[in-house]
Amino acid sequence: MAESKILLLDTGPLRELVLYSAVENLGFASLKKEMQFLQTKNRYENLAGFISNFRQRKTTPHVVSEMSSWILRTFESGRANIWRLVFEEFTRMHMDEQTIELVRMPCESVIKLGATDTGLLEAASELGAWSTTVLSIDHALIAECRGAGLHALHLRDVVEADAV
Amino acid sequence: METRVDNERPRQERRVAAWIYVVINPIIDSLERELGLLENGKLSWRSNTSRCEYVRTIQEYVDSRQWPNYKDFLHEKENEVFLEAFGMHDAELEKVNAEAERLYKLLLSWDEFSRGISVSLDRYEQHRATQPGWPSFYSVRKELDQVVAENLINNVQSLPRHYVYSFFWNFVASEQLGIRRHSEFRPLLETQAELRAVSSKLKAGLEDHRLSLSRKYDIPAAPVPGLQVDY
Repeated sequence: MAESKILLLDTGPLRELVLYSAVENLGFASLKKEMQFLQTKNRYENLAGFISNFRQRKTTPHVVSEMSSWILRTFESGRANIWRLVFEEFTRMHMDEQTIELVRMPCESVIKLGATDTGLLEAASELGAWSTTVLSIDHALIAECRGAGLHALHLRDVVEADAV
Repeated sequence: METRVDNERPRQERRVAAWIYVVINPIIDSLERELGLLENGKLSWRSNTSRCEYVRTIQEYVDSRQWPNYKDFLHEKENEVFLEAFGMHDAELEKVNAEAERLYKLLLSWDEFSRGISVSLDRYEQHRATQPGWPSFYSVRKELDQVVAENLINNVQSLPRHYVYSFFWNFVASEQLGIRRHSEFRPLLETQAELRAVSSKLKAGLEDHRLSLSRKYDIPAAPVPGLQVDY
């Protein structure tokens, strides 16, 4: 158990949590095909268990913006319920947002990775390399984090673990 | 042989297609989900809004951009029966929301309820001492009453582990959920059953109506890619 550690969530894992809840709790069966990593209850429980090990769960406003864009792009109908699920997930897991303004980001990094990934990198550095874990499905971001001495995990490695 | 021109055929297929695709179908889908929730007592009632999160009024089941089509649907004589049926659903939902609110307030003002939570909390905290990483909830004692009351109203059997209150709730749920057998819960369970009956009847009525509109106007029950409605 990582008592004082912080989990920094990228868009992919959050999207999977919302999709799982939409399919399993609200019966949006057609969304099952959108899920990439949480197709089984066991995988979902592995992720939930992993998140529960962290006392603080954080994301960034850029990630929220990506979630918004995904919802607008993906859901012609039922959009209201998806947003309600997002609010529910954020509220119930006590999600906090770490703001990194664009002008505080290294311009070259934004050019290379975009504002969302750079924001996550900067947020992880600011929160402390030793106490923060970045969770993502983006291999490029994970590689960048590791290159910068930050702890980053791919969602697949978390949900496929035998025991968390 | 004389070619017969059918002047009687109503020329409003596009409107009817709109009714089916953006009004009737979303409402049927939503009622299906609503019935699934009600069947398990999962009201999704929230104390901060005093209403059910995923059980909504019929108009809210239609995308707000399509509300002009919703109103158009209700204006026509052949659909007018649904004006009353939708109203009945919403009235029943209002009763459920009101009952949930009444019960929530009652639970929070009920000493026995609060004492029961204190007992559960002490038991949890003792057990926690042997479970590394389980958080303490003594510092949020007041919030626990609210969380437990809401979970009881929503018949929450367990919470996903990443939810902050899951450690406590999953430990005490089986003993706390017994409170739902108390007579004070009966009015909520009754209104919930009434809403379920109304919703079930409404869903069946809408399915029948969709079939009759499909037959009358030769419109498929759902859009078929590549197949255009003949205007």
